[in-house]
Amino acid sequence: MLPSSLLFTRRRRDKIIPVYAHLNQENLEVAGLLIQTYGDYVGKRKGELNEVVSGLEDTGYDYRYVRGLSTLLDRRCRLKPKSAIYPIKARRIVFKTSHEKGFPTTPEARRAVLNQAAGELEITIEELEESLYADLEDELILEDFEPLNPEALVKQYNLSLSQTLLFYSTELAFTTIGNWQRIFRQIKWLGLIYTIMRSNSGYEVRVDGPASLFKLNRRYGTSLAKLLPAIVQNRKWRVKAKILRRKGDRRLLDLELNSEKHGGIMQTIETPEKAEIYDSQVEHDFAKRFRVLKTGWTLTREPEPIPVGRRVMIPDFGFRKNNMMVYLEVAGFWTPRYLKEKIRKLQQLGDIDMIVAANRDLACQKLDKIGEKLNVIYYKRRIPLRPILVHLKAREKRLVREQKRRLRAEPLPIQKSFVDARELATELGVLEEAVKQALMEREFPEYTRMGDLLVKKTKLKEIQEKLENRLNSGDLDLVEASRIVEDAGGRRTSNILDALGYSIEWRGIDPHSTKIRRKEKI
Amino acid sequence: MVLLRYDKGSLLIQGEVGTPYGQWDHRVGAFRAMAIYYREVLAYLERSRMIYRDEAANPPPVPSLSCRVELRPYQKTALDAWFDAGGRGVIVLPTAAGKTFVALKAIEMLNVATLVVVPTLDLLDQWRKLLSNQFETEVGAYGGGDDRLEPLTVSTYDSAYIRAEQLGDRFMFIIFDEVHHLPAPSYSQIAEMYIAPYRMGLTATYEREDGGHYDLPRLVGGPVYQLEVDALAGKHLSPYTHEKILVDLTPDEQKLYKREYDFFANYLRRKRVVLRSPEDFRRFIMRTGSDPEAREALLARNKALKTALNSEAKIKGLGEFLDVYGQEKILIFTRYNQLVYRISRRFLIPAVTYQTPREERKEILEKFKAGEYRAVVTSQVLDEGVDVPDASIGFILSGTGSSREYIQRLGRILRKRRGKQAKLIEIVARETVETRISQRRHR
Repeated sequence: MLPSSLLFTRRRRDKIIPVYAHLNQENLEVAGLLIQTYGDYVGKRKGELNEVVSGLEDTGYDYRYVRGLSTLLDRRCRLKPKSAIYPIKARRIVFKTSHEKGFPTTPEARRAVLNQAAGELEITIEELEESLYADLEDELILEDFEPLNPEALVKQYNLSLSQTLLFYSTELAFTTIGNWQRIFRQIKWLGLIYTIMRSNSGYEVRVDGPASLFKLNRRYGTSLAKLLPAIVQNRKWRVKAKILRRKGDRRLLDLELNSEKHGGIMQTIETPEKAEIYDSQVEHDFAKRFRVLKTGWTLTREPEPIPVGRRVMIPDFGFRKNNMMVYLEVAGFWTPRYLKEKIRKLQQLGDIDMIVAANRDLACQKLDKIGEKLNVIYYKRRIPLRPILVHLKAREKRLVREQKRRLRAEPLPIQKSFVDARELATELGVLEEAVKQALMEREFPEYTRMGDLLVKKTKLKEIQEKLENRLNSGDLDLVEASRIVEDAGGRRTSNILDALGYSIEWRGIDPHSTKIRRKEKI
Repeated sequence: MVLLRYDKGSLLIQGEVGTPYGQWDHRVGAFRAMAIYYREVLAYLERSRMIYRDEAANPPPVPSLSCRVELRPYQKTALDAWFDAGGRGVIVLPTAAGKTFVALKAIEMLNVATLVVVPTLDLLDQWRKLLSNQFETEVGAYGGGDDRLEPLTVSTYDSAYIRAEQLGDRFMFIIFDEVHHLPAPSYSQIAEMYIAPYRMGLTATYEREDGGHYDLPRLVGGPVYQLEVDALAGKHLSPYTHEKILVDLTPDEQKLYKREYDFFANYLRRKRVVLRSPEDFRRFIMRTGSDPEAREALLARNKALKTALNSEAKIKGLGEFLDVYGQEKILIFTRYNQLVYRISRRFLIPAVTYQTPREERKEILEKFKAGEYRAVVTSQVLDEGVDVPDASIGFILSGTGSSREYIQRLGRILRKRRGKQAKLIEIVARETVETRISQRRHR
C-alpha cells in the first residue's frame, strides 16, 4: 500500500481506475534502474540514495510511479545508524554541556562545547559531529537491500496502487473461484459484514461494515483493501467497489477490476495450486490423487460459498464439469457443537449435490440422521476415490441422458463439411458423450461417418481427387497428405485416408519417410 | 423482550421492536443504531416501559476515585455548567487556564470508567502521569506502542479511532482534549462508535476554519462555558508582549527566492490562475496531478517559500536574541524539521520533532521542565498541550498562516508564574510571501 499522495487514477464520468504500470519495456526499465540503484547504494547514506531517486523523477518519468516504486523498495531496506557512539547519548551529553556553558552563538564557542563533550565521551570532535544526528532517516546507512526482479516490482506496485484506491472505498463486491475459506476468515477477522447474492455468474459477495448502515463511510476502506490480495491470487475473479474520493465530493465512483483485464499485471502467487491452502494432509492428499486421474472434472479447493440462511457454508472441494457442480465436504475433527452446527447447515442446503467424507474413527454416526439428500462416505486415513468417482460418473450419466433427450427434440445444427462431436458439444454447451450418442442415433445421408467425425461426402470427394492427382505425379508421404487434407479444412488425416481406401506404409517412425498407397481392392 | 448489545462499533437492538434511533439491518436481521445513541435508546426503552436487557455496556470495574484538585472559581462555574447540560458539552478555556483540572474533578464526581482522548503522544504521557498521580491508580494507554485497558485510560485520537470497535463499549465517560480535532470525517466516528453517555470536550479554540464545529453539539454537546485569553491575562495567565522582527534574506537567498517565486508567479499570470482562498489553492494543487507545468510551478513556489522560511538570516537573528535571553526558558518553533535540526546543530539546543524517539522526547521535555535544559527547538509537534510552566520566551521562526497554531504556540508560554513577563517573538523574512502568512495568523 502506498501513501495517498502517490495514488494515480483516471476518472471518466462515474468510473475511476488506477493508472496501472503496464509491463512494457519503459516501465520495466525504470523498475530495473531503481532496483539496481538501491543495490549500488548499499553501504551509503539513505539521504544520498533519496537524492538520486528524486533526481530520477525529473527525467521525464511520472514522479508518482518513481516514488511509488521507491516506497516499495524502501520496505526492502535495512537501515542502520553509523556513529561512534549511540546518537541519543551523544546528544544528551552535548545538550548538557551547552546548558552548562550557555548556548554557543559563535563558531568558537560552539567548538568549545563540542570539545568538552567529546572529551567526556572519549571520542574525537569529528566523530561527535557525525554521531550527533546519525539516527535521522537521511543520515542512516543502507546496510542491506533485498532485491527482486523488475516484473515482480511492477506487479507489486500495481497491487499496492489498487489497494491504495480501495482505502477510499465504501463497499466492495467480488466474485471468484477458490480460496474462499481464507477470504471469509479475513472478512470475519477484520470485523466486516457480508451479504451474498446469487448472480448469473455464480455468487457475488458484498462486503461493508456495521456502520455503513448509517452513512457512506470510508472507515472500512483499509480493511476492504486487505481482502484484495487473497482475491486476486485466484485465476478468475471480479471486484467492484464504490469509491468516495474526497470528503467534499458527494459522488460515488465505480471501480471495476477483473482477472481478464487486470489479473496479469498484479502480483499473484505463480500457480493456483500454490495459492491453495489446505487444512489437513488428508485433503491435500486427496486433491493430489484426484488430479492425477484426468477425469474431465475440474477440482477446485473451496470453490464458492453456498448461502445457508443468513450465513454461508464453504465446501472444501468442488468438482465442476459442464454446468454440473458437485461438492465435497471433509469432516475430519468434530466437537459436539461443531457437529450440531454443521448438521443444521447441511439440512438447509436444498438441492445441492454434496458428498460428505467423514472420518470413521471419530463420532460421525450422527451424520446418518441428515437423511438421503447427502451422500456420506467414510474414510480412515485417506479419502477413498472410488465412491466419489462412482458418484460423479452417475451424475454424468444422468446429465447425458437428460441432454440426449433434449437433443432429440430439436434438429442438430449440422452444416459444416467436418462435424466433430467434441466441437459440437462445446458449441451446444452439452457433454461430448451426449452429442456422440445423439449422432449415433440418426442418419445423415450427405455425410460419411468416421468414428466420431462426420465428413460431407462432397468434401471427401474433393480430397480424394486432390490426393489422386498428387499420387499420379509421384510418391506421397503422410506429411504432405496431411497438408492436403488440412488445406481442405479437414483433420484426422489417417481416418480419412483409411475411409478413402488408402493405406500408410511406415518405414521407421519418421512421417516423412512414409508412403501412401491405394489399398488393393478385394 | 428487547436485547441491547454492542456489536463492532454500534448497538444491535434484537427483539420485536425498533427504536427511533436505529434502523433495520437486513444483513444480520436486527435493528442497529449508532453507539452514540446509547443513552437515548435506553431512555426510549424506559419511557416506553419495555422489558429489555442491556448487555451493551461492558466497562471494567472502577475503584473509588478521589483527587486533591481545588478548582478556581471560573473552573467551578465551567464544571457546573457542564453538569447542568446533562454531563455533555464543550468547555472553552485558554491554554494554561487549567482545563485539565475541570476534567479531573468531573472524573472524581462521576466515578465511572473514563477514556481521555488526546492528539499527541506528549499529551498522552502528560495525562497519564497526571491521572496516576491524582487518583493513585494504574492508568491504561492506547497509542505510541501502548495498549492497556484500565478504568482510567488515555488514548490518542488515532488509536481511539482505529480501535473503536474494540473499546467503544468499555467507557461511560469520554473526554476529548483539544476537541477541535474531533469534527474530522474519521475522528468524528470516535464519538459515534463509543457508547459513553457522559462526554466532555476541552479546547482553547472552539471554532474551526472549515465550519466543522457545527457538528460538535451532536458529537459531544455544544459549548457550555467559554472564556477568552484576555479575560484571564495577568490574573490567571502571564501578561505577554508580542514582537515581530523583520530580517533580510542573504543576497544568495534573495536571488534564489526571486528566481523561483517569479517562475511561479509567471505561471499564474500566463494561465490566469487566481489564488485567493484556500479553496483556490486546493484546486491548483489538484491540477498539478495532470499538468506537469503546474507541478513545476508548485515546486518552484515551495522552494521559494522554504528559502524564506528557512533563511540563514533568521538563524543569525535568533543567535543575536539568544545572546540577550540566554538565561530565560525558551521555546523555538519552526514549520519544517530541516530548520529544527539546523538550529539544533548550530546552537546545540535539544530538538523535538516527530522523528525524535519517544523515550528521548520524554527525557528532553522532563529535563526542560526541571530546568536542566533551558531551550527546546521544535517543529509542529509541541504546538499542543505540553505544559512548561516557566517557559517565558517563544520564538516563531516559521509557521503556517493558521491563527489556531499561533494561539496554541502563544499558550505554551502563558502559564502563570509570579513575576513572569512572557514574550513571543516572530522572526519574519522581509519582502517575501512570509510577511503575508504572518499577517494571516493575527486575524
